[in-house]
Amino acid sequence: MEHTSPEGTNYINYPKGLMSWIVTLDHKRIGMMYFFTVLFFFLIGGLFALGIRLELFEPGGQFMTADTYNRFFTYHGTIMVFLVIIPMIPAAMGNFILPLQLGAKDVAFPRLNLASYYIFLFGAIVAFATLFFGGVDTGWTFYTPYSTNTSSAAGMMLTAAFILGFSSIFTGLNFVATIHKLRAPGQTWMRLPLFCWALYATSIIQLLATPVLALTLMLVAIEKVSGVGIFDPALGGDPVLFQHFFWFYSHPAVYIMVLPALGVINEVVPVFARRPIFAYKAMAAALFGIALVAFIVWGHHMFTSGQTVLTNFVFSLITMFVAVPTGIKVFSWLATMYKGNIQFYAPMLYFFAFMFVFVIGGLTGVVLATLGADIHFHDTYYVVAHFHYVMVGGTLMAFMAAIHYWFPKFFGRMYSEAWAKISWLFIFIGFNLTFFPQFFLGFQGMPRRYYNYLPDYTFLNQLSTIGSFLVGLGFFIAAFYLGHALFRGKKAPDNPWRALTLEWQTSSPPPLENFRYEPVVTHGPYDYGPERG
Amino acid sequence: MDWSFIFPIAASEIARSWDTLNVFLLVICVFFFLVVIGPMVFFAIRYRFKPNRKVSTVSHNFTLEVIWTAIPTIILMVIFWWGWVVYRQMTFDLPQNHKQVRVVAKSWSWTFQYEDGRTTTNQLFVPVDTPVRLIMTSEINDVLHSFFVPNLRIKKDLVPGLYTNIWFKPEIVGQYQIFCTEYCGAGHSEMLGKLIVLSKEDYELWTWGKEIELPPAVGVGAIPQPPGLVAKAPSSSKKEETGIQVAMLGDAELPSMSLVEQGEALAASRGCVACHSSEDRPGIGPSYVGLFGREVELADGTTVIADENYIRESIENPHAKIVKGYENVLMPPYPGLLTELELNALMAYLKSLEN
Amino acid sequence: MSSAHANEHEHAHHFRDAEHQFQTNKQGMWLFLLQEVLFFAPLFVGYIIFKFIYFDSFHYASKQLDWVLGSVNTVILIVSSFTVARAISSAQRGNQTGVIENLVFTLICGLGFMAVKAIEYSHKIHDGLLPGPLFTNTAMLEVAPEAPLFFTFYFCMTGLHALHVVGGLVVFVWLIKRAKRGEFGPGYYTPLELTGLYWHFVDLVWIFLFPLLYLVG
Repeated sequence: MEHTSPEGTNYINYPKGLMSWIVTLDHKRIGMMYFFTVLFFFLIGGLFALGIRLELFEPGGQFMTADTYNRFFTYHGTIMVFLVIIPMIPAAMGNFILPLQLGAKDVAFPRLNLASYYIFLFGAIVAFATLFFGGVDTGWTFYTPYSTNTSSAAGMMLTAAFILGFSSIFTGLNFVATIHKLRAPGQTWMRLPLFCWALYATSIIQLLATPVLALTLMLVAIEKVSGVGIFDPALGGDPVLFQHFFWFYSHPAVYIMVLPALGVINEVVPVFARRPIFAYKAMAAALFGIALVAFIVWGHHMFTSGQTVLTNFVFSLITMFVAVPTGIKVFSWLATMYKGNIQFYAPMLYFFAFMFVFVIGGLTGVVLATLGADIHFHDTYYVVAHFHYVMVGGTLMAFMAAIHYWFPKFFGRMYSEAWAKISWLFIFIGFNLTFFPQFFLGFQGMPRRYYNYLPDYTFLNQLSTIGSFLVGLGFFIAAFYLGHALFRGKKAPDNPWRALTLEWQTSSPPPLENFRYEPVVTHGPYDYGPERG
Repeated sequence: MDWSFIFPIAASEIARSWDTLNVFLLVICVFFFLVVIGPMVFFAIRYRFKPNRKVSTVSHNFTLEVIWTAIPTIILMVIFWWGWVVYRQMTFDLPQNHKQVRVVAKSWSWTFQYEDGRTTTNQLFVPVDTPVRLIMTSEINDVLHSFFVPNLRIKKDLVPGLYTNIWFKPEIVGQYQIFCTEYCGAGHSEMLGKLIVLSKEDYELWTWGKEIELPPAVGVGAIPQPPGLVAKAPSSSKKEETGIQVAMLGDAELPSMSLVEQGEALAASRGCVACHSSEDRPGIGPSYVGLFGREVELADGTTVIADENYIRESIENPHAKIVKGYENVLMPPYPGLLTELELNALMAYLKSLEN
Repeated sequence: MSSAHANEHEHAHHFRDAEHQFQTNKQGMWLFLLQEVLFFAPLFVGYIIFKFIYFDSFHYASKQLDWVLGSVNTVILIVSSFTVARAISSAQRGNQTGVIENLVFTLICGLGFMAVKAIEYSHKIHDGLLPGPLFTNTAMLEVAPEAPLFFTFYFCMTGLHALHVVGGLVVFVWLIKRAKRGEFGPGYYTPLELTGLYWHFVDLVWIFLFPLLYLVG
């Protein structure tokens, strides 16, 4: 394939033709395919969420049975975790931006990259196919022995998750090799954009944790089919062993979700505060600190499972340490705002929203890590609120920041700042209205995954439902003005934000080969200052 | 100010201890939230874009970085320690003198088995100001459940094939909500129960099978559910409508044998006594006297405490841990031949032979 | 031979040169093998945990495994790792016959491994020593009630390993074809290097599997 594109073309219009997209090896096109696929799955997962919140508007059954409700929260969780939040920033944004920021022409293994996408699609198809085989009602956590005993299509969903795992593994593998081997001249480790550092830490987690989940889910599927008795106590197995294997992956998984988000924030703040990021090295190291601790805290999901007191002690203690590097990052972002020159474009607004919700999510995480406290909160709506604050609040706000930040680069168009601010308002207010009451539901002891609930909990549930529709409206508005900008937006300059990282030193959108010159890096990625302000 | 929207009524000392810990945690959360969001809002306004504003390029400040690393670390250690102390209270502070109730969960109801041999469904009767220990499990063919009483701040999973335990000492008479809080299928949200804390006098009457008036509902679940609004419970549930202020009896007749006596009868009828004596002399298998709670030496040299889980395993899978001196004896396994309730009775009997 | 050097400077557009591509590909394979370790890990961990819980059953069941055949397989794999390394060094020295011969010998070893495995599995099937509910050797259940669980792990672990062996053999067939066309030489032997790495990993997994399942009493 020709790798020098004609002048004036970009990756979207050259090469031409549907086939050139289907078998593309171009990381930018693969990134865009992920981007739109993930957004579609986000819509579906979101619809399941609205279904849940509608059903929970009042106690008792509204318009679905308990069995249906159980499927709704299972699909909401499975879709959002495996099809949206895990691939969201790395596969959609990372694929596009990483080689550009490194000054590379592509990722290390372009064909593996395309394979990753098709494996992702295939896994998603299998996951959705379960809807035609009775659906799945195990929750996204597949706890045994319920998952081995249920007659629903759990085995098929387990297979889907297995397939999706490999997509994630190959993306991580690709990124590590890319970061090691494809940096442009002058792109030393200490000049790497922090987004690259974040993707690096994320990729390590993807590489090391996902295979454990893949194998564990395979074993559950085998047990379902053949009754071998590894996890089912009626057959001599150990259900708590499943929990250990599951959370050994799934806790690091949440950092696969969060670390890229932290990476995006690292990019956005210096650009829109027009000054260097504070404590670059500490910021990079903190990403790895978080990734490292992520692997040794899984037991904090199991404080009431019957594991020993010593186990609980150790996991609670180590979990506390996650907060230290996270705190370093939060404080460093504040310091980056100090004596900056702050521009209130949409990416920065999403930074503010991110800080607000991520801090709440992080602090309530510390509460849950506190042994005594968790005994009451475990498996209540306090946990639901906590993880939505960090995952939706944290990752999703950062994703919105990333969409707005890189929109000009992806599509060569500018979006409407006015509409962005309106959508932001609905999303921010709606999000808090949806999930803040859930902390109080947790204090009040409302358990999770409850189809029906006591009348005591009605008011807070109603607030939450109203909030969820506000969020939905906010995203609907976003889809509208972003969709409009895609086709009718003002043409974007190469570098509308006057940023210093390499992706902005090429056209918007970039050409097929990324750079029409050999990029050489001569300064750090955040060297904003009086001369460059 | 009624703080019960944050802290539901605390019906025990440990619940109050939990509340104190969580007031502390709330204060920390609010404090750090303000410490971060305050400056963020302030900086956003103070340093909003002005052309020709001179920006700082300072990107390090050793003192600041040390402070914001060290202080959170210290605070986190304090939080951890306090959380551990409360957890320790919840786990270990059980007084020697306590009542024991055995709990068996199945989808979707709770069965409570008392020392006097009776069982109740979905209603757990205990006397006020008395420590109670629950020894809990799920039916072997069933799934995970979790026992949760918000007003006592206690929670523990129930695992098939394993015994977990929990204890509490309620200080206020009343009916408290019990939830299942580990997802268990279609009836998960209907698997409700009531912890009925009776005055000592009423409890005494109840143990003699007399009619008593149930105390009012307290805390979570105190709001009466309008009739017809409760979703239809799945048919396998034996949940009763626990109406308020209705005089009721435990739903089983008074048994003629206590739990210990039931266990002793089982040990005879199921053939255990053929090899295990209830006097302190050796038989074909180890004697039951003093067994429960003792450290046992195994054939491979290791030692293990003879608790509920050890005994259960020894009945179901005797070859897993062979006692020293009995290597050549082959105890036939009893997997699935005893129901959970029968196993509980055997346990109570063995426990009674502790000395 | 010119064809060995013909593609010496051919490399994908995003690499500086062929050496850059080669080093990156090697790193890619190392990363893949790293995650494979984690893929096998839960089986090892699960096995060890259950061996601890059901010590007597697992000990008894483990004695049913044929350690002689297992040792033969160990030797076969070690030899095959040696020959695949020789295939690579042959390519580095431009010795085409050496490349082909060593690859073929590696393939034969791999097939030999699978043949021995087939014999072992057939013995187990004959004796009814199968995973979980497929276990039919009721006599053994008296003395080793958890033998079915042992055989679940045995078949899952050796089966997963065997799948990896088969995958490797398929690749070796493809490599032999390419070697016969003279595609490998000092300027280019990446597929040999990467497959060699993979094969050493497969060998290494067996070297842990064999003592754990067959030998540790």
